[in-house]
Amino acid sequence: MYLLPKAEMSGRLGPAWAFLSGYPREFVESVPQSPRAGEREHTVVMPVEAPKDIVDHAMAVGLLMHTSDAMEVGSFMFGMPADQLTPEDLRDVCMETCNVLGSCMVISDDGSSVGVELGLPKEVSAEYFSELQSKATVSVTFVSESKTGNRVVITVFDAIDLSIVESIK
Amino acid sequence: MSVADTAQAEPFRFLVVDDSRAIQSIIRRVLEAVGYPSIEVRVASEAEKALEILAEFTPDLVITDWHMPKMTGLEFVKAMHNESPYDIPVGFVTTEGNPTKLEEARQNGALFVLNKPFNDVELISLVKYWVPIDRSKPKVPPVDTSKYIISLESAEQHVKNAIPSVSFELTPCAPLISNNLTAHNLLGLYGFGGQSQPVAALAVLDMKAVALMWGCASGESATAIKEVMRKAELEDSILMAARRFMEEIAKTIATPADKEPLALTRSSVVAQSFRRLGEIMDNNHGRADFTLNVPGFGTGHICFLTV
Repeated sequence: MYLLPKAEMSGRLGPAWAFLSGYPREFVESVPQSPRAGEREHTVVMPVEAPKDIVDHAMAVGLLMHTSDAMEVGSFMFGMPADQLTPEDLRDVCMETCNVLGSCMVISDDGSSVGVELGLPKEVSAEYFSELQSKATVSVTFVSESKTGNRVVITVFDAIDLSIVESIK
Repeated sequence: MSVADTAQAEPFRFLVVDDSRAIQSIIRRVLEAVGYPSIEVRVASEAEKALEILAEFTPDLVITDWHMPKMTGLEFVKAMHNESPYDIPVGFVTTEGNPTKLEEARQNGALFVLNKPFNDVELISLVKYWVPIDRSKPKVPPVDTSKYIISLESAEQHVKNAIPSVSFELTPCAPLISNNLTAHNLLGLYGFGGQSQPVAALAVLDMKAVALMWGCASGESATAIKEVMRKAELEDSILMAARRFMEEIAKTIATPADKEPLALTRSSVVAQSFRRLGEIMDNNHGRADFTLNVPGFGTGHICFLTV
């Protein structure tokens, strides 16, 4: 009802990455991915809001992104060397990445006058991200891995207890 | 340096409103690539800050996001429309894709909506179109005035009578809807031969047009006019120039041959949300819509409708 066909997601995510980083990258469908202990990964969650009288549970888009990828994106978006980016810059970059990649997966217009709406992304802890994942149904996950094994993971979570998503707003 | 040279040397001004500083940077980079001789770009991470900036900065174009904390881009555009004395051109760069919402944005004056992700060329071409490098006016489709219930010449003459010592531009514009009006507006009702019933026609002046007529007629400052534009309740003395305009233009409104000329029977300030007004603006038997621009003072809207 609110997700794009997977083939379309795959076709959109690559160019979206190019918008963020300056070069395209392939995203492939994957099994759900959790934060890895010890990895320098950013974790972001963006609520997907639907009228409560239509959907009685919460949905969200989750992003896992390695710091090296965040720095690459940040360097392109801010137009400055990666080593000059501040932690605040990287947070901003990760939230915008979640927003742009998420919009490649969720339809804000399902043909009715009442569609779902992307909320505001927020950086969360890896623990929170894992808890959210454990209590949600994963609708779809796409992954893009770099040659060095760093990954960008974008996931749509469904059937989440509303209180979990409310807690990050 | 001549006045023309000074105008030429003025930088092109832009306001970018987006809660992501990364997107602000990308948009700034695009604006720098358009090819303007010089630009001034201000940025705001939230709508409230943008409104503060607009109090002392008049950009050639505002580019705003939709999803922002506290106030959405659409709410920002509505607030900007009410608070700024000018019709400041605005475009959206957003991930919002719901056609219903995007249509609402357009109805509230958005010139364009560009979805993220976009490529630089798309945004460059939109910016260049709406803010031409030679400062010419954007090429918008001409408004068909052949069925106007008041001719442009007649309307111009009556505006000139109302504000004789000020140069102004009165331009036919696309049919206005209630979203184009200000929070409060002056509504005039016309009847045949001065009979209050039935109501045969309406005039609507938004509060910016009312304030321009008052201020320009009485030699007020731009600041005083701007203050009045924001008011909801106005003294009769402020409404007087607009009312006189409505009265004097009445006889030039086209009417059926077998009817007496129209006369203004009543006028009052009504809220933009007044449902009946919105209905008549959407469904009527004839109309004429104008934008009144007084350089240095502001831009208002005037609409005549037959019912």
